[in-house]
Amino acid sequence: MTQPFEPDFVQTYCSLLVVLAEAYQHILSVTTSPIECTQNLMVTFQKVDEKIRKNILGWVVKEIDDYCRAETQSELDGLEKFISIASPS
Amino acid sequence: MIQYSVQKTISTESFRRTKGWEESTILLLEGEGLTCRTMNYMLLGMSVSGLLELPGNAADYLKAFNQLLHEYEYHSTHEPGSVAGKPKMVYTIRINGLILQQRNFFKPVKGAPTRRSEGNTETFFAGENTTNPSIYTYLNLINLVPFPHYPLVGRC
Repeated sequence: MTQPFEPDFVQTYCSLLVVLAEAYQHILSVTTSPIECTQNLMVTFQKVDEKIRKNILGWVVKEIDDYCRAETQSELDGLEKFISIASPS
Repeated sequence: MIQYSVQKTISTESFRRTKGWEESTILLLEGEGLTCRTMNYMLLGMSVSGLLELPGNAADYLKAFNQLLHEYEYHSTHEPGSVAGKPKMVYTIRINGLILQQRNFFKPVKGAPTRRSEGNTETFFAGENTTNPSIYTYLNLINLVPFPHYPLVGRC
């Protein structure tokens, strides 16, 4: 099947985050009073929150973290070579 | 202060030019699965936006939200046809003679055991009842994988 366009990752991801923010806001709108916040409701909300952190935010945070660690390591390696050249003893 | 600002601007521009941070940010996320992930995120966003119009109370909304994320987790971590886990519900669609198994978590397979057939009279949604299954019928329309994008997702 020919796709009409290739969706941009960053734009798609940002749009998803906006929709998720609205979904969280919707929880407040459907909860009319604090009395409705029962224990089961809190457990379900924690499950939802955990799934979002794990499946949507976790991947990107982990990849950015790995990328930053690799870049920092490469910079430190370059600095170590410079120090070894500057002080051969 | 002005000098500091100019230096900061120059250093920032220099960093952008030398490191290409914008391109790097894109490149770090690029890979063979980037298209698949983009499609998955788009499908999830479309599915979540459908839930926003769900009439009902907070318990029903959170149940549906939780179920949607549960199915998305399965969808994003299991390849089609994998035997690592079985979806709870399967929906068969036919396209040009091809029979595709599309998972639709709100529509059970015909003949498969369901909560009701197992003798469980408790409905999934509090607002659902057998005489007026409006919410249940409405949720049948929400698919995690919309039809036009299914072949692309299947290839990923």
